[in-house]
Amino acid sequence: MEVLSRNSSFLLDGLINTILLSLSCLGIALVLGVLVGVLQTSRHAIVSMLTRGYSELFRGLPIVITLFLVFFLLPEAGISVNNYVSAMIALSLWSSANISVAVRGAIESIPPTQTEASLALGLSPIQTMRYVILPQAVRRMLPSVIGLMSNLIQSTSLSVLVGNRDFLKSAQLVIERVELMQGLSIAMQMYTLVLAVYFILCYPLSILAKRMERSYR
Amino acid sequence: MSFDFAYVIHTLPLLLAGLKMTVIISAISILISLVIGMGGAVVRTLKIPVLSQIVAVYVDLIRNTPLLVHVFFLYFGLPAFGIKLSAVAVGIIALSLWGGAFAAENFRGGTDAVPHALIESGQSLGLSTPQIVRHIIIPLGFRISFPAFSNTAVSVIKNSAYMTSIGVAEMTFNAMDRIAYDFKTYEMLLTIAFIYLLLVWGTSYVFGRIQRRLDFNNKTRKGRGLNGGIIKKFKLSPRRAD
Repeated sequence: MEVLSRNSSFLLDGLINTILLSLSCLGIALVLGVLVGVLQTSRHAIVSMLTRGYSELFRGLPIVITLFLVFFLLPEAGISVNNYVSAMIALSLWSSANISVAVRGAIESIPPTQTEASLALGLSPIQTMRYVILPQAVRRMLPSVIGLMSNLIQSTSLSVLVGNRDFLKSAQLVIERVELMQGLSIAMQMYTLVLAVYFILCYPLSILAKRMERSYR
Repeated sequence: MSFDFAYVIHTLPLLLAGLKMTVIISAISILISLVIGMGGAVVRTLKIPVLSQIVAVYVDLIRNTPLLVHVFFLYFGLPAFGIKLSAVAVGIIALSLWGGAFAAENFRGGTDAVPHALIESGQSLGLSTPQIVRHIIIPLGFRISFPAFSNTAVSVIKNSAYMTSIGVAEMTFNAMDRIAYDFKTYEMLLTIAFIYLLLVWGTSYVFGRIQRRLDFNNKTRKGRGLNGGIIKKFKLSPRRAD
């Protein structure tokens, strides 16, 4: 308890980093995911093939590998990024690939007669997507997108592997510090705390997702 | 920056040894997840008191906390209780518990979808509860929820890469180890990324084939399986677990 109060601001810093990373990834992934998802339903063979390939690629790669790829290969290509940004890029790539599949699924579940009707009314294809299809699709993709949000928050913990100082990393540093200075192991207590905090962040989301799924079925 | 093929060929045996470890850990964990998941789903479908609540808490806890923290908890936290596990054991336990929680949710969708009339007719025929579980709930529930479970299984394979963090000599670890010596970052990472893609896509393909054989609504295999007109259509959205 004493350790906690002495390190509270340090831990809080880490927690804020975790939340910031989650939010920034979520923002990028939502925009990119909806865009890629819409393009996947395109009738142009090349566009839909490329965007589907994008999803397959980043859904197929383990997140750890995507992280390392971005972290090690961007600098080799002459783009220098710090570990926070590279974690953000990698997690956004993974998350947007997953969101795009949910978006595509939702769009494809809207009856094609809707598109035909709105095109017949003289709306342009972009207007059709914007005013007719997407508003209906959003309702259907929300449960899985919210589920993915919870996955994303959990996955940000992987950023410690490329040296980002998030909540998990802060907890590890506190464990090490106490070990060195007092010779005590508080690993058990700290990891329990970490589990509890992630649970508090993610549980409401998964309840929400489950509830929405039930009400839309 | 040129791609050094000779180096990749040279290190391939090491990567393949890592791949073997990845496959072994994943396969064992998927099997244990299957057992945990099936057991958990049956417990919750039959609403067995106490056990059912324990399973619910376990599933919620695992699904809402990061796997990486489970790994660290087991590897660095448990020694406080005098339990010192090897890295490989921690890897298998963590992946199995994680996969099991997701599989329990996958299978619950399936076991819940088994029409209650079937269970009642089993009872009226004089079947005991274990017999109903074995002959009605598991075979039907398993078939219905197989697509969802296969996603979880594929995630277990991908997530085996987490074990790099505690030093299990699986493929990612071996590759990172070489990078620390030879700095052939580009070659190593692209090679293992390629191998992972083959592994993940290959496994998904195999699961897809199995799924087609299990499918109730498969038109090409009409008359096969258990669809005697009782089980019409199930709307279960397969959800990815990772």
